[in-house]
Amino acid sequence: MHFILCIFACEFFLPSLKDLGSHRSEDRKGYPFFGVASAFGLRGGIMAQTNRRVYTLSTILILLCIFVIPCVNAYNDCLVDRTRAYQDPTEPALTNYINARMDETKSSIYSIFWVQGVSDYSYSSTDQDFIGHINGLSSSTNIVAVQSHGGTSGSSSHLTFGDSSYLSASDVNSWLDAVGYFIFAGACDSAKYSDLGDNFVDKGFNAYLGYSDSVQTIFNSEFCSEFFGRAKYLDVPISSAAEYALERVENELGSQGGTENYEIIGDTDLCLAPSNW
Amino acid sequence: MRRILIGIFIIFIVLVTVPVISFASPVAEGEEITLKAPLYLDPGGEAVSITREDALSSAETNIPDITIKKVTGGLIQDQVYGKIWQFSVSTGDGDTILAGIDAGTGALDFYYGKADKKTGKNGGITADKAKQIAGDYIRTQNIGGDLLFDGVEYRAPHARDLAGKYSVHFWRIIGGIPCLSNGVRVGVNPETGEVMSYLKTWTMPEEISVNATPDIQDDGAQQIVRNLMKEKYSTDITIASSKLVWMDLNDPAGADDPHDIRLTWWIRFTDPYLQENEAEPGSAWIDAHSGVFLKKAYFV
Repeated sequence: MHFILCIFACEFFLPSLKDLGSHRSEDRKGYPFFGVASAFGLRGGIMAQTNRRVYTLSTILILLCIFVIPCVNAYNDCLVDRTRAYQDPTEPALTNYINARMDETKSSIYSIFWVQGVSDYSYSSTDQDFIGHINGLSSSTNIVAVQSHGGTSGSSSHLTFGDSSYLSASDVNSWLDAVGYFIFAGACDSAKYSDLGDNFVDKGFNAYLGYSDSVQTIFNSEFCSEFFGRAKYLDVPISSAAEYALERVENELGSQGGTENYEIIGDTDLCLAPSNW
Repeated sequence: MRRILIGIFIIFIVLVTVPVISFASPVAEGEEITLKAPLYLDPGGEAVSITREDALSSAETNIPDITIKKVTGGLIQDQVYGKIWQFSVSTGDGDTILAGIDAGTGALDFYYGKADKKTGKNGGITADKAKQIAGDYIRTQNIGGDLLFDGVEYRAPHARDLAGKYSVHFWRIIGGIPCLSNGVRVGVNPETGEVMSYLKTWTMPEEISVNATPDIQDDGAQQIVRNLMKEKYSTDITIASSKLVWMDLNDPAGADDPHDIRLTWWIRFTDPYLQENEAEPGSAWIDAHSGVFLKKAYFV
C-alpha cells in the first residue's frame, strides 16, 4: 500500500519537474527517491537542475509517504494467533471450533477500553515470525493470545509454530523486544517448566498463562474464550477469570480436559482492564 | 507550480485518509474487524428489579465474611446468566472478589477470588471436610431444585502465591438424570476451610419434553463410539466411563434462550493417541434415543 502511494507520488511530481528544465544525472545526488523512481522505469532522467527547492519539497513529501503513513497506520496493540487451527487441516470441525472461540477471544480483547486494535494471524509460519508479530505491535502494552501445539525439550517448555519450529525461552530472550502486559500461551506444556514464561515476564509481560501438562484442544479453546470473556471487565484479576473459565469448561464439556493444569507466571492480581489505568 | 500544489494537497489527503480507511476496513489479518461496544448496560434503560445497592447488599450477605471497601463494575448482559450485576469488590481482607448477582432475583450466581492466596496455614481440611463445608454453604443459598453430589477434587495451586483448592461439584437433577451443564461448584480453601468460590448454573427448564428412558442402552452407545473412532481414526478405544446425562446442544444458552436438550450417553475413552500425549480421556456424546453421534472432544 505504501509502496503504491510512493509510486503515485513520483508519478505525479515527476512530470511537473520535467517541465522545469534540463535533466542532468549528477543532480540526482541527494535525491534518492528520484533514483528509485527512475530505477522502476517510471520517468527516466528528468532531474530539474534549476529548482532545488522543489526537489527538496518533493523528497520530503515522499519520505512522509513512506515513513509517516506506516507509523499512523500501525495501531494494533494486541494480537491473537490461531496457529492451532492451522495445524490439523483435515479436521474442519476442530478448525471451525477453534476459530469460533478465537473470534470470541478477539472480540473480548478488543472490548477492553485501552485496546486500540487486535491483529489477527491465522498462523505464524515460524517461531521467529510469531515474535516478529509481537514486536510489530504499535505500543509496548500488549495482550497476546496464542493457540498452538507445545511441548518440552529436556527441562524447557516451548511453543510450536507452522513449520514445526520451537519457540524456546532463549528465542524469546534473543528476539523479543521489550514489550508486554499479558500473554495467554494456549498450548500443551507451555508452563510445564517456568523458563518460557519467565522470559516473557523478563521482557516486560506482567503475567503469562500456560499449562503445566497436556491440554485438549477444544477445552483449551473454550477456556481461552471464557477467560477473556470475563477478564475484559473492569478490575477482574486474571486469577479469578481463570478459575471462572475452568469451571465454565467443566460445565460445558463435563470435564476439564487438562485446563485444570493452567499455570500463571507473574502477577496473579493483574487486571486486563484496571480502572486505575 | 500548480501541479505541485495539487500534489501536496493530494498527499496530505492520502496521509489523513489512509489510516482512517484502514481503521474501518473489515479485513481479518492484521487489522481489527469490530467496533467497541459498551461493556456495561445503563441500569436506567433496563427493566431490572434489583438495584445496584440491592445487588451489593446481596453480595455482602451471601459471600461469607466480607467487608466491601471498593466496588467497580455494573449491569451486564451475560451469555449464560442473562442480565446480572457483575462487580469487582475489594474487601477488608485484601481480596479482590469477582461476583455476579442475578438482576431479576438478587440471587448469587457466582463469586471468585475470596481467600485465594497462600497462607501457609494447615487447617487439616480433608476432602470429606471440604464436602461438608460446601454442603453447608449451599444450604444457605436458595437453590430451588434437586442436587446430587458428584465429587471432590483437590487442585494444586495455579501460581506461586495462590492457594490450592478443593473443588466440590453437585449435579442438577431433572427427572432423576444429571444435567451436564447445570449444577453447583463450590471451591474450598484447603488451608483454611473458607469457601473460596461458588458457581451456580441453572439454565435448563424444569420440565424437559424428552423421554428420560433411553432407547439405546449403554453397551450399544459404547459400540457406536468404538465404531466411529475405528472408522474415522483407525483407533481402538478403551472405555473409561459411561453416564446418562441431559445435554443442551445450544449450551451456552441462558435460561430464557431456546434449548435443544437431548438425553445422551456421555462416554469417556482413551486410546494410544491420547495415551501417547499423556492426555485425559476423550469424550463422545451419543443421543440415547436415536443413537446419533452428537459431539466429541478428542484432539490434543
